[in-house]
Amino acid sequence: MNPLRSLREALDERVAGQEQAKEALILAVLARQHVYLEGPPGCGKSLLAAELAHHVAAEAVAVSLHRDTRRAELLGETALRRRRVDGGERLSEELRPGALLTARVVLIDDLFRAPPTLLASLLRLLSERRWEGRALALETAVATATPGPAVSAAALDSLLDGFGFQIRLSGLVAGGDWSAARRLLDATAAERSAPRWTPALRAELQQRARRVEIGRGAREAWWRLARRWPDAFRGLSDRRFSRVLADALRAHAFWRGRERADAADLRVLRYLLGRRLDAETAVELERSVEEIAGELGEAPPAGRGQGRAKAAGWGGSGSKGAEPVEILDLALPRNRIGPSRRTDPVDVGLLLRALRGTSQRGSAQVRDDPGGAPRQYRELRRLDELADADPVDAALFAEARLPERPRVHRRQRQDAAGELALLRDVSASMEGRLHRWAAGLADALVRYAARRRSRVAYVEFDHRARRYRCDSRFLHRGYARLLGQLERAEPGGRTNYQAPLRAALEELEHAPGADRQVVMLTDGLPVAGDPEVLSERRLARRLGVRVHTVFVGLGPCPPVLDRLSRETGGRGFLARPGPGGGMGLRERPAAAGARA
Amino acid sequence: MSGGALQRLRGLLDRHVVGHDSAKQALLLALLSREHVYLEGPPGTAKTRMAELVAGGSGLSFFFYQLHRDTRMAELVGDVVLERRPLDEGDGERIAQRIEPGGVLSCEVCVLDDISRAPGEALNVLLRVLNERRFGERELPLMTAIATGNPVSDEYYNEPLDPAHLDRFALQLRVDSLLQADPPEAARALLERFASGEVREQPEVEPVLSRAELASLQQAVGEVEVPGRVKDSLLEILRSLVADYGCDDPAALLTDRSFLVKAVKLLRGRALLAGRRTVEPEDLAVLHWMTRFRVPEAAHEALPELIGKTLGKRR
Repeated sequence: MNPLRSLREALDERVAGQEQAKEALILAVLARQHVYLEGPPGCGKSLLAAELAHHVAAEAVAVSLHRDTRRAELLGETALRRRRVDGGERLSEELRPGALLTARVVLIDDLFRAPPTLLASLLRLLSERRWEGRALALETAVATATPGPAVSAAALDSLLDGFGFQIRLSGLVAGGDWSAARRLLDATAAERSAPRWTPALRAELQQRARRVEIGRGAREAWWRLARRWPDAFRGLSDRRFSRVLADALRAHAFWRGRERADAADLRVLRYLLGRRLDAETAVELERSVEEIAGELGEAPPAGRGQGRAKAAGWGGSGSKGAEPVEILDLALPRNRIGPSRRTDPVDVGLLLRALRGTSQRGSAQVRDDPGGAPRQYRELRRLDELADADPVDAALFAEARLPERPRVHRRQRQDAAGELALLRDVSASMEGRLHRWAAGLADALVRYAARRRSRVAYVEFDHRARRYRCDSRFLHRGYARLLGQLERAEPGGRTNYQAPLRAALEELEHAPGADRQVVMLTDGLPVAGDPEVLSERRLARRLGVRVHTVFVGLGPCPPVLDRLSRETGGRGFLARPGPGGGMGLRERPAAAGARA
Repeated sequence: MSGGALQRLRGLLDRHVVGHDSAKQALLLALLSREHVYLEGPPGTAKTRMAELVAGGSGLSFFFYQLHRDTRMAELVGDVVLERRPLDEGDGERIAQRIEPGGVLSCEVCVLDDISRAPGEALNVLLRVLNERRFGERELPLMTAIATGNPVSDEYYNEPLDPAHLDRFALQLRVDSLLQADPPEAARALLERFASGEVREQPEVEPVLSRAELASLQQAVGEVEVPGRVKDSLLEILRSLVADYGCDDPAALLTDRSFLVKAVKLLRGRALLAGRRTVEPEDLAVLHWMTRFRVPEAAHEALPELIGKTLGKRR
C-alpha cells in the first residue's frame, strides 16, 4: 500500500479534524523542514506532533521546555575531566552529545517557555543544523507554542526563521469545525497502530521528493505571486522564500503523486505563512494561486494587489484649541467585581480580538523587581544573592570550584498586560438602546482588561471630556469602581472628538508603557473641537498608541474615525442592530488600511 | 455494585463540612472520572478541608503542598540529586542531575493550595504532569489534583492563572462563604455546630472506601453509555456559546481538550454518581462546573437557561 496514504489514514484515525495541520506536518517531514505549530491551549498541537512522530519516526525524541530547562537536557551532559598536570590539576568540561545533537526527529513542546538564553541557542541550532562545525542528523523539529510572546511581529519573524513551516491551529469548537467535533466526541480510545515508516523508508521518500522537478509554470507563478502579494511575502526571509519554498513545492507535488511541481502546488505557501495570515487573506492568497495558474502566459493585470490604499496624507496645522477637560475621581470603592448586569446580548468577540496581541495575559510584560517572583536565571553578582541561587549550581560551585558562578533567580514582577484607555461618548444622542450598547461594550472591555490585569483609563465625553481617576491615577486597576461608573453615566450634551482624545493622549504621553491602546466609542458627528482631530492623530502616531474606533448607531460613520484608526494602526468597527434584537459588531473596511 | 461506597464518602464530607453541596459533588465526580478540580474562593471557606477529606476518605496516598511565591519545581516533583561518577575512561568524573521522584510524582491525590500564588512559570512543569500523567518515562499514579486559589484582586498577592494552566483543571468551581450564600441556613448550621462545642479539633480521617471499590467505580465510568442525542445537544450548546454569547477565542477558553474529550468523561461520571448506566440529557449540567472561569461571566450565568432551551428544543 502507498506509504503516504496509509500514513494519512493512520493520522485521521487518531486525530479528528485539523486537516491542514496534518498535511503540513507530513510535507515538512518529506521536505526535511522544521515546523512551528501555534495554537490555543488544548487544541491538539502536542497530540498531532506526537502522532506524526509515532508513525513516521518512532525513534523521535520529545522534550518539553520550561523555565528551568537546562542546556544539559537538550544538548547533553557535561563531563568534568580532571587531569593531573605538573604541580596541580586541570579541570576541563566536555559535552557528551545528547538528545538534540543526535536525534533525527525532535518534538519540542512549549517553545517559548524556555529561558531566553537557551531559546536563542536552540533556535540557532535548529536553523543552522550544525554544532561545532559538524552537521547534525536532524531532519525535522516540530515545535509547539501558544500564541507568541510579547515581541513585535518583525522580531518574531526573525526569531522563527529557522522554522520553514509555520502554521496556526484553532480548536475545533473555537474554529467552528462541528463535524470534526462530533467525530471527536464519538471517538473511542483506539489503540495506536504500529509505526508505519522505518527510518530507511523515510529516507527513501525524502530522496524521491527531492528529485521532483519544478516546472517553468511553477517558477513564473512563484514570481508573480510574490509581486502581487508584497505584504504577505514580507514575512519570508530570503531563505524561506527560496530554498524552503522550493523544497515545500517538491514535497507537495510528490505527496500528490506527481514528479513535477506546477503552479497549483504553490498552495503550500499557506503552510509557510500560516502563522501570519488571517483566514481571509489565506483564502484570497489561495484564490490568487488559482488565478495565476489559470492565466499563466498572459500579462498580470497592472497594479493589482500592490498593497492596499496608502494612508491618506494630511496637511494643514492642527488646531490646538485648549479644550475643557474635567478631572474627576471614581467614586464608591467596591471590593469585588460583581456579575455583569448586561441584559442586551452584546457580541464583542470581534472587538476583543482586535485588542489581543500583546495584551494577551500569558505574554504580559514582566520587569525586574526584588520583591517579585523568580522567573528566570541570571548569573550571581553578589554573594548575598547565594540564598536565591540554584541549589545544584551552588553545590557545584562550592564543591568543584568551577570558574562559572552559580545561577540565581532573577526576580520579576508581572506588569500590566498592555494598557487600555476607554473613551466613551455620553452625548445626548446616545440614548436608549445606543446608550445600553455603549455601556455593554464598555463593560465587556473593562472585564476583559480585568481578566488580563491591564491597567485601564476612562474618559467620558460629550462636548467636554471628563477624565476619571482612581486613587489619583489615570491608568489604574480599579476595575470594580470603573464598572460602577459605567452604570452611572447619563447621556447629555453634544459631541466633541478632540477633547477626549487630547485628554487621553496627554496622560499616556506621561505614562510610558509598552502596549497602549485606545478604544473610542461614539455615535455622533463632532460638532465641537477640531472635527478632523489632526494634532491628536499625529500625537497618537508619535506615541505609538493604537486608536480603535467603534461607531455605535444607524447613520453613516464619519470618515475621520476611519482615518484615525487607519493612521494609528487601530481597527474600526460598526455596532448595528444584530440578529435577535441585540447588537452586532462588524469591521469597517474603510478603517483597515496600510497597517504597520 | 459499590454505589454505597460513594454514599459513604459523601457522608464523610457532610459530617465534617457544612453546606457547599456543589463543591462536594464536583470533588466526588473528579475522583470518579480521574479529573482535576480547581476551587476558587476567599480564604476560610473549607476548600482545603474538603480536598483533604476526599483524599483521606478514599484511603489514597496524599500529597499536600502550599504553594508560595517562590515555589520551585523541586518542591513539587521531588528532590534534585546530583550524581558524581568516575568517568569510564580516563581520569575525571561525570556530574549528572536527576530527580528523585517525590511529591506530585508519587501520590494519588494531590492538593495544591493557593495555586494562584505561585509564579506561572514554576507551574509549567507541574501542569504538564497533570495533563499527561507522565513524567519523562514514568507513568504516574496520580488520579486527581485539587487546586485551590483565591480570587484575583489587589488584596491577595496573586496573579491570574495562565489560560493554559487553567484548562488543565476540567472542573472549576467558585466556593463562596456560607454567610454570603442564599439561603443562610447553612451558615446557621455552621454556627450551631461550633457553638455547641461538638467540634473541637479537626479529627484524623479514616478511609471509608477501599481501593478495590474505587478502582471498580472508575472502571465503571468508562462503561457508561453516551447516547448520540446527548452528544448532539452538547455540540449545540457549544455552538450557541460561541455564536450567541461571544465565547470565541480569546474571550473564552472553549478548548477541544476540555469540551470534546473531558466533557464526555464527566458526563459519564455524573450519570454513574446518579446511579445510572446511561448518560441522560440532564447530565449536561456538568457544563456548569466546567465553564466557571472559562467563559465570560454573563455566558456562564446564562448556561442553565441555554441548556434548558436546547433540551426543550430536542424534545
